[in-house]
Amino acid sequence: MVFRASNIVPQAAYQTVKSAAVQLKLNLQGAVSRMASQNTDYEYLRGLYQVLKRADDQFTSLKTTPGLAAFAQAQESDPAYNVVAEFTTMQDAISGVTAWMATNLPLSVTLRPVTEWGSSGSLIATEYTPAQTLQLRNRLDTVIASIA
Amino acid sequence: VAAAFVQSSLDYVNSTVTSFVLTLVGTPTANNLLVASVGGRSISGDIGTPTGWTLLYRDNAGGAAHAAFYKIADGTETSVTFTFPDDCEPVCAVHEFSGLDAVSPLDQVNMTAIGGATARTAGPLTPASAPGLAFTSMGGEINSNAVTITTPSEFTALSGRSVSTFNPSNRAARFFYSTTDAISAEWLSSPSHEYAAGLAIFLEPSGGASLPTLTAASAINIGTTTLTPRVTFTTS
Repeated sequence: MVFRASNIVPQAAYQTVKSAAVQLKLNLQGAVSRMASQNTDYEYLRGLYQVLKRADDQFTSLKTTPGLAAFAQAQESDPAYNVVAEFTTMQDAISGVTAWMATNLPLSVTLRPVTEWGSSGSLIATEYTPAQTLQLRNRLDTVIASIA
Repeated sequence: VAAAFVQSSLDYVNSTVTSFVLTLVGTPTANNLLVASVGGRSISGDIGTPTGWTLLYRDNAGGAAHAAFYKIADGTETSVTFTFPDDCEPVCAVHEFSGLDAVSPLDQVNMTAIGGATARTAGPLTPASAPGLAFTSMGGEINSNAVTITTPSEFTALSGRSVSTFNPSNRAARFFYSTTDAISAEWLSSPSHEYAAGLAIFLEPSGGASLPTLTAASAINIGTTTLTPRVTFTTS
């Protein structure tokens, strides 16, 4: 037998998951607020997609940590707390947004004219008004609501 | 202010190398902000931008070099590889922060180039919005005189190193600002040495009124193990 030093322990996994969930919620709240008040370009949408994917990937990598479910129940002082079910709810909500983006975001966009390439920023000129991002914001609200 | 410091990793070598792998003390949380600062001695070019990172500022002159980079953590990083144009002695650090915009966190940067001085000031920079994080770092080359480095006022020192003669210097500090007043960072060196100073402003997500808070609760017992304090995240 050898000392198992390289595997992650439930305490570290649960702490990271909580931090990632809070960071995700904070950023999605910001995104919803931002998209409700100004136009949204593709650079921002791509960044938002990456935020969702990063969080989802970390949740996936940590949710199978041995002992996590029991540790979460103890930490929450709630024997009925089913962290696996909460993971599923949260990740389903995230998948709902990324899948919706993949299906509904138009890829037939308008590029910026070459004469504007000297400045930085997105090559894609197409933007969406607050009214046009309503459905996306509603789906982001579902993710936000899955994190208390 | 939602932004918070999470952890720092720091390492160095006393021999010359062309690349250096800094092992992070803990795997970062996905979507947290990572900021790296590097100081180099006996170097003849710019410090390379690590793969997947974005340059904030850098300079090199007379054998001294300093640079800073940032990235949004994907939560899988266990180390960072820094590269150098030729053999040099580096001091490398990575600092992790939570609560910042994970889509487009960087507001603006400023740097005062390498120079032999007792004071180098980065800024002033006026943040586009508040609250947020002001990150500052200094770095360069300490030669025959040992130096004492003073962290800019209003800033809190992070992990750094500037301990002896004939070594690189690299220090960093943070300031969680709450207004859009202009911010400067003056690094003092006594006596003088060759160093640069940089300043970067990072923003919190827009609509950051819904701030997560940490509250400590009473300890709980699992078998014979006492875990304290328990940390609970709540939002308001």
